[in-house]
Amino acid sequence: MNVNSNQEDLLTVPHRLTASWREPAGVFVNRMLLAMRDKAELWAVKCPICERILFPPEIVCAMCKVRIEDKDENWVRLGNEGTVLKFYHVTGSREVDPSTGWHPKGQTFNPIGLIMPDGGNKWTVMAHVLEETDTSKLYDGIRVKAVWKKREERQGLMSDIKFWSIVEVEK
Amino acid sequence: MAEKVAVIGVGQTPGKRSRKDVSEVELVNEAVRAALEDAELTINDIDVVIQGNMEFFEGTFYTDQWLVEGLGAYGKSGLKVNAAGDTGGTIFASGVSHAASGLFKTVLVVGFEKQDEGAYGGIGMRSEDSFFDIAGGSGRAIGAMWGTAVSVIDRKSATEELAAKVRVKEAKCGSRNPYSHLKLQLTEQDVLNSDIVIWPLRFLHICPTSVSSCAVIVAPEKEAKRLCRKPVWVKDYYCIHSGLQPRVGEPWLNLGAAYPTGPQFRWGVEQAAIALYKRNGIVNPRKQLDLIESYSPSTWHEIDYYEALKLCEPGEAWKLIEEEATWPDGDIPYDVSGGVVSTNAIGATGLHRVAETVIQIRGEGGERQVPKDVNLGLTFAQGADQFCTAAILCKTL
Repeated sequence: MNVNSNQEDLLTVPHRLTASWREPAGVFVNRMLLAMRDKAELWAVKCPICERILFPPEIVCAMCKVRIEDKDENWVRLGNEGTVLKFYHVTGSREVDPSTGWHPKGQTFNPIGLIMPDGGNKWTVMAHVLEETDTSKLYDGIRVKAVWKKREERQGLMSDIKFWSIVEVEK
Repeated sequence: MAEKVAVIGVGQTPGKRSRKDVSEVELVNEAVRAALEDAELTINDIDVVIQGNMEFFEGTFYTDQWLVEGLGAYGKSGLKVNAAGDTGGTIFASGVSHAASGLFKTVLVVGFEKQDEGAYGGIGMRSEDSFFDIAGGSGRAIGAMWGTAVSVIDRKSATEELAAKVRVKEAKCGSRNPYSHLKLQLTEQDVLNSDIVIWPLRFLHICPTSVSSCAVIVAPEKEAKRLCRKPVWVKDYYCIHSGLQPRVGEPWLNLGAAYPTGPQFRWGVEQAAIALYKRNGIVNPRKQLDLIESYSPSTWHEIDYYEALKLCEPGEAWKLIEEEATWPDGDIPYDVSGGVVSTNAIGATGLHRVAETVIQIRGEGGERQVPKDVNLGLTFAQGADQFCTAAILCKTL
């Protein structure tokens, strides 16, 4: 008996993983997400030592290594408007995602803005979707406003904000 | 370090897009055998085996278990280490620590990635974030590369044209390295005409997805001198944890473009270099170092790191490029292997940097050997902004 020695015929053994996770938000982020869902408000925390305003809120300031206590004075309400510090727009990609067969080319993505909400400081930057897809109308420093989903559609997710739309500035 | 440590053997497999001819076990075994042959040892001479890869990129946990035959690890002491793109650097640091402890005589370090097998794209590049779910079609690595690219442009450190010049240099270097995955013949115009992924980041600026394995054997001084005719010494290493970026889902990697600590990856690389320079009396790295092998996952990272590594003043990377100072025949050759943009088998990538630096210090680089004596080389890896492991390797203690 001889083993098949055809080395031109290379076999692969397929396997497929499907998985889903549910991550508890944790005390601080839970509070933040509840405020988003129920009140359409953004809340951050401020490190009592260095005064960095952190969104999403963290229980420890990484730089000062101190616990940020869950006290009213450490919570900071962020505004519903903000400033786009930078933005990016994915316009091309070459590879098909092997797990989904999804090909980014041909799809129009919304630009992503790196937004500093009012009431934050230079450490308060969030990445979120911009409504305007014509990037010639966008610039660093442009003012934007959060457009929230209706209450019944909000689930306590970042996507409770539909997108950020340009705030028209009166000239 | 309690014990001085040397690299006494290196082994690499040629980078490829696909290796359907071998299993993971067979792939790592190629690198292990090459390193053992280089060190003139057998697996029986090895005390410790340390392995690392991007866990889950091949769709399996416990890779150390599945690979035990290929690694030769059965019955030996050892660890598995996973630190994203820094894995190759971290396993090297783990190996050096083991050897420096004085408890072991020989340590085999093995990194690999077999990216032809599975859904690495879904897992590592474009997985939607479970928490914030606003990836917008970017991916972790791609968005992070954009952050670096746009910061280089914003700082006026280089133009798109100069980035193209660097990319051509990287391609030429890769084509001279027998272990390089890509051996591209590029012109600057090819690079400038390449598809935009996120401006100014173009397709040709980005590293490929490669299959490769790399193995390195390290030993404490006494054993290194006994076993090896050409030891390359580990002068120092530094393994830094950064990860300061706020946790805002997948695009957190991109926030560096607007965040005070700067583009993703850079902070860790800069801080690790500063720490190593300080500990080793390096005040003018461009002059004192002979060569750098870096983890620059895009051409823009290479340019960014010229400044992070203090090879020039902030905002003056363009000067190095115009002078071709980082070319193989320049005064501070950078990635003469072709770098990560030529081969990126992630779990092996950091270790390839070590292996290529060792080869250059030994003067065994063949067509890619730099035309000068290499005494002191800096090598580093970085991953996901959390880790950067940098090491200084030298010819003599």
